[in-house]
Amino acid sequence: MRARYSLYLFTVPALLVIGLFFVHPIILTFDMSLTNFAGIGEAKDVGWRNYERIFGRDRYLREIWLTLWYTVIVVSALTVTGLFFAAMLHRLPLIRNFSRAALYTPAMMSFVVVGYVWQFLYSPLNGGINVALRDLGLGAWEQNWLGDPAIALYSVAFTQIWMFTGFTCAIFLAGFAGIPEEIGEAGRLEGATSWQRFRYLELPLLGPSITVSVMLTTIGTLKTFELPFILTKGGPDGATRLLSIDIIDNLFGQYKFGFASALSIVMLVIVLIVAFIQNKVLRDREQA
Amino acid sequence: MAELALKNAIKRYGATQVVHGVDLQVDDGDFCVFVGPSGCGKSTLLRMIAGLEETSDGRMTIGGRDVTHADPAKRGVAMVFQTYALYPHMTVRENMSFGLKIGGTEKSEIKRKVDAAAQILKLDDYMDRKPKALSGGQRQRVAIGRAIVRQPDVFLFDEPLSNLDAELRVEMRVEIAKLHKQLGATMIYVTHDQVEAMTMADKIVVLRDGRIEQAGVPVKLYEDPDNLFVAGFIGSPRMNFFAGTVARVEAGIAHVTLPRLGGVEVPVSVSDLPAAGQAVKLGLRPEHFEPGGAIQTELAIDVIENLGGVSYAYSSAEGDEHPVIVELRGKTRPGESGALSVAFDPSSVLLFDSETGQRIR
Repeated sequence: MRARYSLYLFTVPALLVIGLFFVHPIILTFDMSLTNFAGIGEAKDVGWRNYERIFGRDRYLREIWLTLWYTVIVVSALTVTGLFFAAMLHRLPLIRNFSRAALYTPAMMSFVVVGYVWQFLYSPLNGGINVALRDLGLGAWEQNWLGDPAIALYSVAFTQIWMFTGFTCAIFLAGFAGIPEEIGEAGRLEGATSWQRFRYLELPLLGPSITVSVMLTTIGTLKTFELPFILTKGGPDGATRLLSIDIIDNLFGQYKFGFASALSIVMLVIVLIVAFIQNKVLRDREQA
Repeated sequence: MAELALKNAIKRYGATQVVHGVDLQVDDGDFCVFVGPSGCGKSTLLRMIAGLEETSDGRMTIGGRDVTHADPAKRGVAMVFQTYALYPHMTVRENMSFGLKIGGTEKSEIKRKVDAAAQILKLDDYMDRKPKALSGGQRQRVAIGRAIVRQPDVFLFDEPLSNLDAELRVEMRVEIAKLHKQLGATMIYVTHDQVEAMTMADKIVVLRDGRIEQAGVPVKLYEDPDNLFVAGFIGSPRMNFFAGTVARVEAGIAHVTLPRLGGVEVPVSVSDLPAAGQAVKLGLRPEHFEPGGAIQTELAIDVIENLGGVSYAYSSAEGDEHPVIVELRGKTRPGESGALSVAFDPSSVLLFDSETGQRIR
């Protein structure tokens, strides 16, 4: 019996850390979300009023949809590009290590640096992209990349995709490394083309890597704040105003601690629900 | 079904050459076994035949077609891997159908071929299972089934039994041999286990360091090896080698003295006579020690292993690379170590040149 108790004893440090630094702040945040706390002074209990405001106004529902849509774009693109590069590099062992490092470099850079670099590239007059298009004789394709509400979200998404393709590629390359070489060789002997080997042999066996990659990028993208904040500050006309931007705006712009807390709790619940559903669906697919 | 021919096949990795000009002819319907120690190039050679390794130089034909640089799928070969290489996410049926499916074979035809192979390999009850729900032997059968449905000209086996336990290995060995009879197909089989080679092969190819040491029918390799390496590699327990000197040569007979056997003089009849004083090695298989032999001597025995029907007596001495092994049969076998009188017939010894390792015939 003593052995069994000591077993639980070893989990105490971890439980303490989780309790103190994760569960406790969440409870505090939830507590604050039921008040009109403004950072100083007294926090008056307002019940569920903050939540009623979030779900009662189009503005916040639109932000939630925008956040979800942004996540769909970024996660799908990251998965496809990561898979594409990983499948290519898996077949090119000579340049694999170098290319993996090169692809991963953007993910190692600070969001601030990436944000400002891309702000310059997207700049409408002398920005790198428009100048390049003009020089290539594609002047008709010039855009006000971050200033046009119709495309600003996609411009921001593209930057995020550029930044994290190396990350998903690295996950998929690790997945490829876990597939025994003989499987591909058996496929080759049976006459499977490179594409058929990818589609019928490698892709199904990458299931666990896809789960990990989609989960991590989804959670990261739902919470994303830095790039839209630096590139557009939520503009133009709210086109890139994600939930996270509004949380920061409420918290540090308007000192509405109570309301910002309620938004944070909503975001947490969304992340949890999405992650849970994804995990269920993807794991079930792996088992199938 | 087809024959396979290699002409001066060479494999290089950069500047390092690992297969040195192999010439080989495997006849239609033969069961040919590549055998040799680890790193001898037998798997590389098989993979070259499969097309999984590029052949750097030389020529390779299957059924008369030049396939030296052909795509693996276009060579008409099917391979069974050591690790089986089954597709883990597919059922047994899907595993066996995959090659035909992507090749665009009609569904009914695929079903017919897969069912036929399943029946041969007694896999009917497992068709909807995934590989992880199968035992090692069953997985091996699926891998063979996957090869059969493609009806290749040449079957390639890369150490297919080495992941199985001893009992199952013997069972599968018999099954593969039966399958070979049933299909009548050309099969090439790689193993490091010379027992597998002896029991299964129509033709054994002994490889060392990327070269063929000797190729031929198993009994020929056992009884009439070309060199020390083949003599030592084929046969279990291995052949005993005794260092000796040619004392004199008389009337087509070389008299060899063997210090290890108490300096006995053994008359060996060879046509290519060595010179007197030449250092030679004399090979004698453990079963060739017979009580009634003409040459009588004594050996100090350290260990006797009694296997029931037969016993092996081991005699070690300083400077011996391997102990001398004597096979003992019959009812009156010594059970304890000590001095043992042994005898053998000079006609059963083989003579080798110490320097080159080549057989003196």
